[in-house]
Amino acid sequence: MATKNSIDNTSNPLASTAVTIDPGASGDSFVQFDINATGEFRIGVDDDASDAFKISQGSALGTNDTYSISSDGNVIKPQNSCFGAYAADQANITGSGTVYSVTFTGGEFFDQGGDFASSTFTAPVTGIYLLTTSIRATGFTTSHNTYQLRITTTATNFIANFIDPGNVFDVNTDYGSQLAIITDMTAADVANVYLYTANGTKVVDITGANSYFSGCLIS
Amino acid sequence: MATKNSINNISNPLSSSAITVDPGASGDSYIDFDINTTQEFRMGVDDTDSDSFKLAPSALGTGDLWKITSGGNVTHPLSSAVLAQNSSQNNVTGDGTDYTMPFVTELIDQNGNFSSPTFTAPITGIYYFCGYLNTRYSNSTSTIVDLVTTARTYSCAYQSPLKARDVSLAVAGRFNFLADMTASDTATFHITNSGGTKITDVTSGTISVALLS
Repeated sequence: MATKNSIDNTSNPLASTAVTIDPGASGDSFVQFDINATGEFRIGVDDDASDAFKISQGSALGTNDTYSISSDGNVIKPQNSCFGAYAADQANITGSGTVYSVTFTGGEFFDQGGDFASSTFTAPVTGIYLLTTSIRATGFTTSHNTYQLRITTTATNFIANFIDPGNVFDVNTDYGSQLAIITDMTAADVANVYLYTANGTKVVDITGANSYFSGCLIS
Repeated sequence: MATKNSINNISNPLSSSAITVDPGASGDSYIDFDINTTQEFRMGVDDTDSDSFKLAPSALGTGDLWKITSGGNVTHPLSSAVLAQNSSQNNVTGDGTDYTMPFVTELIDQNGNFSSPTFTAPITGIYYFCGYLNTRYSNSTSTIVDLVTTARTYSCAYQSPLKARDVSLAVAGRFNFLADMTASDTATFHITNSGGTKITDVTSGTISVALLS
């Protein structure tokens, strides 16, 4: 049954079973969502971007795109929170039990959404996030018997225990360790990376160019 | 310019702040987005698929690009995603040889962007790479696993196989990265064992890639 203000097969004055939007020979094909005459979102086909299907903030496809599906199905979210950064070299950071907050001041590969600053990721919205880190450490001595790589969020401390470094590596060995988690974060929650080595002296170093921290809002 | 069967702000006779599309007793409820009478996308409810909300290039249910089930789960059935495995190869590195992991068995290649040994980005975006590889037989002094993209090299899995274990024991390398890639950029995975002889075998390995954002 058709309702007021609806379009349906029965009473549709447009004589169609569906709604078709067509700008003609060229131009975007879209639906505009406004509130009080202010363009909030536009959804439709961007004729200037290989006919990608987009959801854009405001009132123009191609400006402030938040969601885009190419004609062959690849989906990108150009404003979705997503970051990747690498460290600078850091010397004598742990080894004596220090829980060291790794800094990623080497540079940012990307910071979509602008949520990464001062080596800290801040969740812009409540959701599910993928967080990954990979650290290249060196300088372990035989007394070091504990090695942990941690991703710590406001809510949870994720700890990965790795092989007893003092029994496995010598002082000149570089060791790469990785940790990836999918976790829930509330808006304004933060995430950092920590390194912990104990029972020795504080001589463990990080090689910055091969140490990374990255993350993305996935749901 | 509005065409027949279109709705626009000027001529819309519905005088409402909302639009409802309803096919009646059965059938899909959808909006077609055309340009010059060529159908580009269809968005709406697929009556024959548990009323999922979809985006498709033509009929809903054919080549779906985006699907939201009534329970709220979202899938992108054609967005780039890869899962490939490596078979065993012998004597690939150990003496400094940079060995490119072939990952010859494709288990998933959604969108067809992987061709052994190379992943090619179909679109500019952020991609997630993860996986592992297992090796054995090493008298080398260092192991490095690299993801090499067109833009940069991400290195991981540094370790000393020689001190770590008996020469015949297995060594696992793991990797996970988020990488920004431009359309047509490529990515390959490499393992380099150095300081020994070329006796290292790769016994198995897996690579997973997904377009995230």
